[in-house]
Amino acid sequence: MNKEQFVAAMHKKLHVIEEHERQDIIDEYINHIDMKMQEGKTEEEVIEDFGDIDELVKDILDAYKINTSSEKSNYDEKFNSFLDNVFDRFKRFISSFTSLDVDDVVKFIFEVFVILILLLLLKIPFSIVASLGASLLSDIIGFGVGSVFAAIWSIIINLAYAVIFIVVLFSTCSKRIDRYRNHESTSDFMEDFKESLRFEKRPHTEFESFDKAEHHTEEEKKEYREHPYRPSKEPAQTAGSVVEMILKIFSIFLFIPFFMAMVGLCIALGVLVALSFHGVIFVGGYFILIGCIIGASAFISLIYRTIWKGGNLR
Amino acid sequence: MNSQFKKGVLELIVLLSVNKKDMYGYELVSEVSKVVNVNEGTIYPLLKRLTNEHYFETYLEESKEGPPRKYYRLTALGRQQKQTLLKEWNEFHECINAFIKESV
Repeated sequence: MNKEQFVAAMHKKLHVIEEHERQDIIDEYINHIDMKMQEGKTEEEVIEDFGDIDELVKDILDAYKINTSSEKSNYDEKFNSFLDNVFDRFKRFISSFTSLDVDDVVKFIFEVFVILILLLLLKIPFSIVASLGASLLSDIIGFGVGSVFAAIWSIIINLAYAVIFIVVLFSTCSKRIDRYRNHESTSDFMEDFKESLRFEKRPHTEFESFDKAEHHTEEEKKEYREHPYRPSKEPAQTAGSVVEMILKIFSIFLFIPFFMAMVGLCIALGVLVALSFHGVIFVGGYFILIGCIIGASAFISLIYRTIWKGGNLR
Repeated sequence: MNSQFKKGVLELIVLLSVNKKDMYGYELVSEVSKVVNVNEGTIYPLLKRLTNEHYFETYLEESKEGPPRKYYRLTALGRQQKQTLLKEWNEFHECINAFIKESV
């Protein structure tokens, strides 16, 4: 290697160091080479005396406390091995009392977390219904008796929510565990959750959704037809049908304002058309109204599909 | 000689050399390599480190032959470090020698 090559290589390998500093270091080496050459050595000999260039670079980087075998990476390694150790113990601990894989357990915990979030979201309509019903009752029936009725109403709604919460949580969890035991982890988690929400028609809908899911193999389907009933949850099913009734009633409440909004929007559209005959044209108004109508109808169909699906309207 | 031995005392030797008088890089390297037979290339990173740790400060001075030279000068902190290392070395040296006397 001659001087030029050496300098180029050093620049390249020391690129993490700020340019001025890097130049400073390399200048020292250039100076050294020049001095040695005055003493009668060749460029190549001097550079050969430097030894392995990578070793040299490592020494220089160490002087700037950059990576290599610094304490920090040692620390990281220790931390990593500690984590591995803990995870290994956790693995053994888990497998000591269940047939589940650790991966599955981790997945399962995550899924339970998601279920909890979904159920908490479900709390919103319930609290709306509870407060609406309570204020309606206390207004209509009168102050004294009305407040008692209102209290009872909100207790009922909250109880219903609690029942749904527990039933859905447990049935979904048990389904997931069954699946993991049988290593059917390909099946969709949301499917199980929806099935648990639909309650009463479970064997049927379960079967159907199973057929719909394209990624299941024929073999799995066959096994599924032979055992359509998973571990029985009879009380859950009856509780589920009550809950579904409540959901349907609630959905009707939700429909009313949207239908009103639709009617109002249609009337407004009619007025705009009538105005345009008289020479007043709001082009923007048309777009806004049509957009609102489409949005509202989309929302209504969404509610219809989510809550009434599987119900008697189908 | 064992390269780990050399590495350990190299810093002390460099500090002691610059303590005698200010030196430029090549001069310092030649001086040090007279004492310990070490790859001369590896002394520059050490100089850089000692400068970064504020044991050395540098200044440029014109030379009769060639470009201006970068001189190294020991700082107060450097002198302190030199004393510490010297003390450590002497203790270590005594300790090891005593042990060797016992063992041989």
